[in-house]
Amino acid sequence: MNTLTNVPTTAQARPRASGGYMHGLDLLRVIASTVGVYVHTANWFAVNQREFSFSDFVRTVLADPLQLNPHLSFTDVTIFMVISGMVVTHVADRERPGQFLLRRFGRIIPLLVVVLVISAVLINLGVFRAETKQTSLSFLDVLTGVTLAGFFTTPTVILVGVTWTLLLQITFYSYVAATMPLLRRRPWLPPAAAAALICLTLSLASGPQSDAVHRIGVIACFITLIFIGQLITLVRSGKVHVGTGLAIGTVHFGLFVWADKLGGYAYSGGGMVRTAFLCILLVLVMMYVGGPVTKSAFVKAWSARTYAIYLIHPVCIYPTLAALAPQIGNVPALLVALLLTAAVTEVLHRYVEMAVHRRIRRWEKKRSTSAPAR
Amino acid sequence: MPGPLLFSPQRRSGTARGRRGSVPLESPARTQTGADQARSEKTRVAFIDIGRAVGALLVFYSHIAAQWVGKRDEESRFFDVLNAVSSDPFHMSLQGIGEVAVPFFFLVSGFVVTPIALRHGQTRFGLNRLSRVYPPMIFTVLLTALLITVGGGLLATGQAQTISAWTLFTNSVLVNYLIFPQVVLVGVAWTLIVEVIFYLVLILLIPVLKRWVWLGLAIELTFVFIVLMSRAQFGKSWSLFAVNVSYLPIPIIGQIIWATTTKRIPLWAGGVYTALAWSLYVLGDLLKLGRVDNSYSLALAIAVMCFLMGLFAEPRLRERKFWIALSERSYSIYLLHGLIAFAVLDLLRPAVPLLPAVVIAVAATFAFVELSYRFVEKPSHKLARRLSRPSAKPKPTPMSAPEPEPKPAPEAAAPVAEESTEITPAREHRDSRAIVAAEVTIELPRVRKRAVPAVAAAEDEDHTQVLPRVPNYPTTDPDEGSRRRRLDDNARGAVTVAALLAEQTQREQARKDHRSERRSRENRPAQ
Repeated sequence: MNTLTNVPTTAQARPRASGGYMHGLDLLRVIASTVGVYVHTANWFAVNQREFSFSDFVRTVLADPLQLNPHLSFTDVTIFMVISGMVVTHVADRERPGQFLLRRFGRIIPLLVVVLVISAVLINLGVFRAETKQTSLSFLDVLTGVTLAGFFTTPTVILVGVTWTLLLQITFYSYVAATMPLLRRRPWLPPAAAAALICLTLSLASGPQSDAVHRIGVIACFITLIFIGQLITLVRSGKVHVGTGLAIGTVHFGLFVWADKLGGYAYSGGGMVRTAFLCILLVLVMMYVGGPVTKSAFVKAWSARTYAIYLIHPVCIYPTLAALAPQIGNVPALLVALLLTAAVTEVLHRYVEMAVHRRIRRWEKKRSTSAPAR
Repeated sequence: MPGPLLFSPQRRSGTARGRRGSVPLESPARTQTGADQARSEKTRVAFIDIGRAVGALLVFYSHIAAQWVGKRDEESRFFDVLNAVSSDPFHMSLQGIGEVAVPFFFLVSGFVVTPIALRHGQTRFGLNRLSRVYPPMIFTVLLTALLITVGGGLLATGQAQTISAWTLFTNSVLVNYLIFPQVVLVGVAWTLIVEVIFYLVLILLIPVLKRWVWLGLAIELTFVFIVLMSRAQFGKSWSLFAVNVSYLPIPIIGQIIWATTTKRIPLWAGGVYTALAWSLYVLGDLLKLGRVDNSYSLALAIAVMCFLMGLFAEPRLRERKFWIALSERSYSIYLLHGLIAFAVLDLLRPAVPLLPAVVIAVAATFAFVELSYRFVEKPSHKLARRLSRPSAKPKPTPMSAPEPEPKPAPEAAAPVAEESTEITPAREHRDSRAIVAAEVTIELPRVRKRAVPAVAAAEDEDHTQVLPRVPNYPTTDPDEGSRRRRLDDNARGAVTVAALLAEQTQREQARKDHRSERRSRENRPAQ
């Protein structure tokens, strides 16, 4: 299960291709979610000027030699985006546009709303601080924050930082739904047309702009990675020739490089292009990996919970570290924070994410059985 | 998971390169499905051919863009744009995007040369490498000396380029890289001394690698660590030696990939060894051993990813004459582009505009490469084969068909490693193809009560997973006991598939004979 794409865990919805289910992607999601937790933890320790020796080790052995962002920022996001493009394109092949949107939004929106409401409550209780530094929220702030409209308002209201990637997901889902007939008849055309649109958007959004326009530029910049994932699936399934896929993918990557050069979109450090390139290669390698651990129930279960982990971990880890690290030390506080994250993730996955998913499926089933009777 | 990767080692004709010419008429593959047949028609490892070819071209491009155009302050929007989207974002502006190619060549070397070394043994392998590496190198050194004498501006590393009998000798045998002060005539030859050191380490460790691959790898990594740590202890030559040894972790990673994918070591061990090799390479970076910028580790990471991607995608790749031809000439391209292209560019500029001059320089280089390939490299390959041919035929094993006189199979050259990607026959029957199969399943570590024998493992798991070059072990091995059993297991694992296919062919032949006999019997009364 992808943290960002929220594709159902049912066997039908898994990324199957001519070579079968890509178990390696499950493992990669587990790795990406672990890296995501590490990135935010290391950032918290760095910002609060507390010693975290593991972060020094990672920096010496990986981040610096590979010229990546400090604390490997953006690694997790890139992996999730590419996988997202792959998986969503795969499932879009057998769904109607309305059904596709219902299922995809049904997977991301409820959990997102619950997490944002929890974070709004915690912010008003003074336990958690909004990404945009607000320490108390009005009803309107909560409303704009929970609906993600706060990304485009002035002043900006962002409750949980990681939710910016949801803007990319929503844009991508909408684009896939809109181009679905084309995706079936001329599969190469939607990603190619997207490249042209992205080029245009980046041209218009570059330079000194308002926050809202800048945010659209950010979406245009990073959505290229999701389209690269889409192209991987289209090439793998034989719908797009490898040469065509490579050419369009190169254009998308070129747009990402260009956006990086324009500046202002990549706020995680100077290693965005290298991070993106290595992560794309990693996805291409991992999609072939199999083996007992990759196929294990543990990896599958973790993989299914990565969306919940992705959304909730900052909300759990930051307040816990802030409260406990000065009292009991960094490592014990981190352990408590991780345990809390795991527990809250489990609750959210079972009682929100999967509950809504099952309800939607039941409703679809009921509708499909009642339709012929009428 | 990768699909079947079958190799047909036997050639119908010595010149057959493409798929058409390489498939014998009577072949087990003819009974397979179209896709399987297409795969089994392969005679080479396609991803290595593509990787070598692309790598050589990238090095060529980078030297033109970063070394010639960049260092002569030539203004070119064409190269500026290409650099802006390739080498600049990857922190490789100084050396160019071709920096990725060098670790790829080293990886290929470790991956492909190790099984050859185990198959050939110390003397044969040593002679083979000697006669493959040095003739083109000596030719290039002599040509370089000639061009320097007439005042050509060549690709240089910044060290002295004094021409004398001594420097010609040291450069030809590559020891110039270990003598202080360095005199470097051929700028790109530094990778060859790394190769030669790797070959020497490999030759010394062949007996260990044959018995205990894990121990051989551990010794290699320890050796690298000791040399790096003692870099300042034994004089300047030792320091220069340490600089070259600091690149050895790359071919060792190639070896680790080979050992892991052929299940000579478990995946967890492969992961641990790779992490250690990576750490040693990063250590070399931190110690700034011969590094001119800080992009070496990134180049290695990209090369490893591309290598693994190619390895896993191999079942889907097809042989293409274009890639094979380029791959076979990649060693010559690698050695000669800095001479010919630079000399031609120096001659033409500024009289001819830059881009036409570059096109002419590239064309001249390829023309010269063709000459070098035909009249220097190919003869050196023949010599290598002659020297490395076994003196006596090994006795046939009960598991395989009798081995005929090995056919001279043309081998490809890589820019650095210059070893063949062809799958040469281990044991082959005169009329049937032996298809050598091995595993490329990447499995994550698991707890095993005991090691699964090779044959059982091949049967239990996806038996379509294959990898090139399962080494042939001598059948007259005097050692008994566990080693003997292990060698037998390995050999059996490799030969079983070949034997099965040979058996299948025989069965088909028998069926055909039976059918034709029956038909002739039926026809006889009618006549």
